[in-house]
Amino acid sequence: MPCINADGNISRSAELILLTCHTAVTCEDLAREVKLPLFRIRSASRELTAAGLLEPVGDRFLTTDKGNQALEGSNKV
Amino acid sequence: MEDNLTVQPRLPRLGEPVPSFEAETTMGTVRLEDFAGSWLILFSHPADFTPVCTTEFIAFAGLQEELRQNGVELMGLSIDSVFSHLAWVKNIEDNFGVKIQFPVIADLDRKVAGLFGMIMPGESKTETSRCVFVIDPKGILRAMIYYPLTTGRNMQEILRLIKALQTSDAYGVATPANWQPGDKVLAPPPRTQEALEERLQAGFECTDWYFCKKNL
Repeated sequence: MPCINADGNISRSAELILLTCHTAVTCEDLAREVKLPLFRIRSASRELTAAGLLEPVGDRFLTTDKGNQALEGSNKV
Repeated sequence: MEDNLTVQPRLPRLGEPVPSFEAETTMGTVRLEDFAGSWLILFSHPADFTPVCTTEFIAFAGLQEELRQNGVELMGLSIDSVFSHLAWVKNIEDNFGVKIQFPVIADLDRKVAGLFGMIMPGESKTETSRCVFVIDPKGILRAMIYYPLTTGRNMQEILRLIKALQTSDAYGVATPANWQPGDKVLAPPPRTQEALEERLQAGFECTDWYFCKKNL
């Protein structure tokens, strides 16, 4: 699991994605913003959505309240 | 008799969509569809912590930046656990100073290897051979290379192959033997008399009506 570590904390790349998704962004924009290949963004956004930390809004993704709580837990907000 | 009745999965063929899959990798769960829009080199290796495979991983890593600049991603595969993969890529970094920055599929259940025909039982029933599948941005299989267990692949040939395919797609041409980027390309043979006559007047470098080269 690249986004959520075995101890339940979110990974550094997941933090970057959740921070960037405070406004709804596409996978392509996310890839440019966090400087990760598109395939990794697609994989990570799927995982974060399944965990309830992101929500799809059309072809964009937005950080959920649970996602913001996860960021607070990692002291990134 | 029983063998004849066993239904074998249909292996991918050139020019057809490759089978979809989802797999655990060193970079998380990845689906084939995640690479849509990019070229993908899906390659298998026999086993982690083996010398030829280590040289290949180092060579693939050395090629990755140039591949990425050409819109190509890499993904490896073997019948090893993700923990073995993680330990091996760390070992490569520690021993050779090379960071592996592409995902490696942990295909313990041989699901992906089976879909792509990566296991050659005549060589090994438990290891994948050195297969390379070049998949285009639309998920179409464009090229396959199979090497035996003993022989490391030539990365420059893989790079040349990708550039040749991309050139053919971009310009509607073919590439001759030993073609390298910048060399003349081959115009497709004319299929009508009209096209033949146009070809001869168009300033191509023609040895004969069917054999015309041109610069891009």
